[in-house]
Parts: sequence; structure tokens; C-alpha cells
Amino acid sequence: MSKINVCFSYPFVKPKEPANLVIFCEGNAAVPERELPRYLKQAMDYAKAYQVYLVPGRFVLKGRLCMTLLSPAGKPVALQKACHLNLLHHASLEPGSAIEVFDTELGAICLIADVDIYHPEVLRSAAMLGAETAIVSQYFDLYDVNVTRIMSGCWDMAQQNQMYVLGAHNAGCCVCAPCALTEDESGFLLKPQAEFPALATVYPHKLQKLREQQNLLSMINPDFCAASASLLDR
Amino acid sequence: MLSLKTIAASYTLSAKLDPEKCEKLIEALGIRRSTILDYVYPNNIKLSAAHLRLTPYKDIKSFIEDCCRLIDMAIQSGSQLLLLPHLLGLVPLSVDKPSMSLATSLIEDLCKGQTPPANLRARFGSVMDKLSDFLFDCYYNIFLLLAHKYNIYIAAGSTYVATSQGIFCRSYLFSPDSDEAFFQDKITLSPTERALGIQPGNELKIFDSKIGKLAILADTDGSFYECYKAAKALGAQLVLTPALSSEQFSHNPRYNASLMNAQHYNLYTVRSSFYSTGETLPAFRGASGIYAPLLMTRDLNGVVVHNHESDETGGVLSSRIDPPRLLDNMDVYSHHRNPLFYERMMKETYPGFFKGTLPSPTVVPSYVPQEKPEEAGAAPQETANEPEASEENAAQV
Repeated sequence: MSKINVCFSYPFVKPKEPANLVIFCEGNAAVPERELPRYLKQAMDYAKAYQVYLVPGRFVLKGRLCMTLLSPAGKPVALQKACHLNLLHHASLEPGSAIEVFDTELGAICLIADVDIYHPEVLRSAAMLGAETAIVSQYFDLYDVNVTRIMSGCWDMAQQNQMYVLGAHNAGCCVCAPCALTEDESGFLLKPQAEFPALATVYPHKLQKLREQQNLLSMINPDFCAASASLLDR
Repeated sequence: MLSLKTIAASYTLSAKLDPEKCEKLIEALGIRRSTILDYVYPNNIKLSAAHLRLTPYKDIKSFIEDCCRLIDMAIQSGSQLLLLPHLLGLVPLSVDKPSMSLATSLIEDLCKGQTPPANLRARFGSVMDKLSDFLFDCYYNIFLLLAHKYNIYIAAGSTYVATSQGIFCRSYLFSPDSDEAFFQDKITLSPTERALGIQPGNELKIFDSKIGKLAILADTDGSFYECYKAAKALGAQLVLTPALSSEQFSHNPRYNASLMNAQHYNLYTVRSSFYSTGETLPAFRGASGIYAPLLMTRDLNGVVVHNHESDETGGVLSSRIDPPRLLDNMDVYSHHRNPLFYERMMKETYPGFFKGTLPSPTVVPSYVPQEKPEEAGAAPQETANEPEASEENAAQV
């Protein structure tokens, strides 16, 4: 696909045309495991009915906080466990130990669950593994939502790793990109907003071109990383 | 011809930046020693960050007087440390027109991008060979003397230093308690610096000062989380980030990594930037400020004090910080640690990335839509030869 038309919407509401990717902005911290079969069935039916890739809300599966990507056929094609947890909400869950990148029709994507967006290690690993677009699904306690929270998450990771970051949370959504790829150089293709449905378009080929011109990851000092491995693996 | 120009410039520059002359100028100012570092309370640390207009100076006296103006402002605010912008050490070049002309010509050719890299590297090497000693001695002696005279820590930005191991971009912190400045070599080089043959530092150091443990991450070092994480792991509470953002040379002039990484690693960060309009040099713009974890700031926005505007003459931004509070600060969004993830990252992902041996992303079967969407009962087709991703993913859980 030459572009991703992403639609952020309330769960199970008809997506805005011409979306090919829908991300739900779920109101809860996570769908509990006992409700998962019903929830996922509903999500699969939705993806199939509207012929879209779908990232439904976060859910708990076998003691892990997870995200999934469903294909327009209604099948899960990617699964990612959260590698970091909000201990206020998920203290009893176990974190995952790796981030995975999926080569899809939407390009090379990774799924970033909840507070993983606030841990640069996760996005850096994903970028090194080839990710171009990060799909983020977060939960905020409403009193914690402010501009710097959004900036230090989705926006910061888009700048640090030269990626698109499609950020959905219970109080809004945004699409972040390297500043050079945004018309007003703000780093936002879709500024943080709380109105749904919200539609934005990202072009993977533009990102590839930017990376060819100036590859940020190539600036990382390998000798420093090797010498500091015992500091960076804490 | 260029070599002759460089040699000629070295003569004029050495006369104008004579260390004895600089010392006499400083003595003549009659600087009164402050008592700001004589009594330091850990939860009452005050810092200043210069937000400085980049402007040429007509002579070294003007440069020294401007630096003293900033130090006076910092001391009047009660600050124990003043941070100055990146590459401040090159600014004294502007007092000598031939030297400035050499530097400007090199920068212009860098911006155009048409000169062969080998040519640029040779020119830069020649300029460093002839001019850097005078420039460095002047910079080092001025700030060492000012730190002693005023009794204040001065993180005097950075400069390029020619050593036996090569040319480094080095940031200096001058202490009133020592005749040798603490320094940090820049770890992450920009493509321009690599093209000029500058060598990277490979080690991050911590300065254990009266006001706490601090690290210096200059310019691009301040844009990479790896440096902040290493600083935090080494015990830093305060990270100084002298900055210099330009449209041509910075990957993102609007990216205030100091503010962002204060959140990720529970640090105080201080940033000092130049700004200029771009009349004689490339336009520089950037924010200066003091930043802290969100929950430790009055407006819950991570900003203690901040300025990104272009004031006429520039000044300092000052504020009090409370490093012991960092120990009690816990942000549920960034507090959790996953050592297993990091270990795997450092053992597999990073080495694999540098060697180019990382596995390709997991391929997801392409989706072929049905020809007649009305026949919703028929299952959509997928490419035949890939395994069922859903079963594979479920099995992985």
C-alpha cells in the first residue's frame, strides 16, 4: 500500500472512509481475560465487515497485557505483549521481553502497548529492527493527560527514531512524524484531539526517503554502546 | 593560497587572543568573589542557563565583558552553575577578521554540499592545525580564571580540540576548586563532523560536584536517549546539554530532547542555546531552559524555566532545583524497568544492528479482498504459502 489511511474511532463505530486501518480508542485500561473471546470475536467481525486492518483495545491474555492487529479477513496477524507496565493498573501482570516488527501491507509496523511508549528502549529496538510505523494504544488516568505527556511519548519517539507514530488513548489521538515530514514542521500530522472519528494519512515512502537522506540511527556510536552495555542493560 | 591565508590568520589571531592579555583584561575588571559555593544545601541548588544571541565580537575584551555580564546575572540570581551554549569556544574567532573569513568560508561550503569531503576535511585540518591552539588556550584560560574569580561553576559550552589522538569536540566544566577543567568528549557525531574527520568520544564521565553529580551531553549527544540512560546509570542527577540548532546542521532544530529525557530518566536537565537571525552565519535557533520530571514542576509540564524566543542581547534563565526529590519521584508511566528486555536488547538487537545481522521483520500474509464484497459469506482469500499467522501468534503467547 502506498499510504495508510488511519481512522481513530470509538470502539465498534463505523469507520470514516477511506480508512484502511482503524484503531480503537478504548475507554478502559484493558479488556479482562474473561471477556476476551467475546471482544475479539466482535473485533474480528468488525474488521471483516468493513474490510479494514484493525487494532482493537488492549487486552489481558494469559497474564500479559497485549495488543493485536487484525486483518481485513478478520484474523489476528500480529500480537505484541507490553514490555513495560503501568504498575498502578497492571501490577499483577507479567511483561514481555521483546518487541517484534511485522512486515505488512501497511509497511513495517510495530505495536506499542500502553506505557511502552515512555520507554525509549522499546521504540529504538523497533526502529533498529526496521519499524517504520508504531501503532500505540495507551490508557491514561484523565488527570494525567497534558501536552508534555503526549509530547514525551508519541512525539518524542517519532523524532528520536524517524518513525510515524499513530497514538490512540482513551482521551484522544494523534499522529506524529519527523518534523521534516509535516507541513508546518510541528511534528504532528494529526494534532492531539479528542474528537472521533479522526482520519489521517501517512506515506511510508516519504519516511523511507527521509531516512535515506539522513539516517539518525547511523549516528549512534557503536563503540560507546558496547562500552556502556552494562549501563544500558539496567 | 589557502594555506598562506591560514598562516597569516594564525599570526593575527595569536596576537589578539594572547592569554596574558586576556588575564590582564580580567584582572582589570575587579571581579568580586561570590560566596555562592561556600555553603551548598543539597535541596537548594540554583542553576542558570544562558540563552545567547550569536554575534561576532569586535575584540576579546567585548567577549570577556559579555561573558562576565552573563556570570553576573547568574550570581545575582544565586546560581552556583552557569551553562553556556555549544561551540562557545569558537566564538573568539570572530575578533579576527581573517580567521573569521576562513571559518565562514568553510561553513558556507559545508552548507552548499558541493565541495568534495576530502577537500573539506583537509581544509578543516589545516585550520585546526594553525588556529586551534591559540583559540583553545584563550578559551580555557578565560573561563578557568573567571570560575576562580567569581567562585562559580562554569560549563563553558564546548570547542574543537586537536590532540595526539585526533580532533575531538570537547565540553568543559570549569570549577573554582581545581586548575584542571572537567571535560567530556562528544559521543555522537553529526554527519558533518564525521565528514570533517572529528573523532567521537567513547566514554561518558560524571563530575561529582558540590551541587551534585552531573554529566555533559553536548549537541547531538543530547538527542540520543542512550547517553541519558548511561548518565543516569552512573548516578547523574543533573544533565547539562549545551546546544546549537541550525536548519542545515541539526536533524531537528525543534526537538527539545532535554525536556523529553528529563521525563524518561527522572533527571534534571539544563539546556543552553544560541540563536541568530542568519545574516552572516546559518540561522541558529533553539530553546534554553531547565527541565524536570513532570510531577516535580509547578504546571506539570516538565518545565522549570524556558525560553525559545530571540531576545535582543540574550540573558540567563535561572531557577532553584531540588535533586534529593528525584529519589521520591515516581511516575507510574515511566517508572517500570524490564532488565530482561534491556539485556536482550544490548546482547542481540544493538550488536545485530551495527553488524547488519538482525533478522527481517515477521512477514504477514497479504490480504486479497473478495471480488464481490456482497458475498460476505465467502471467506476472503489470502496468499497460499504463508502459515496461519493467528495460530502462530496464539502459540507464541
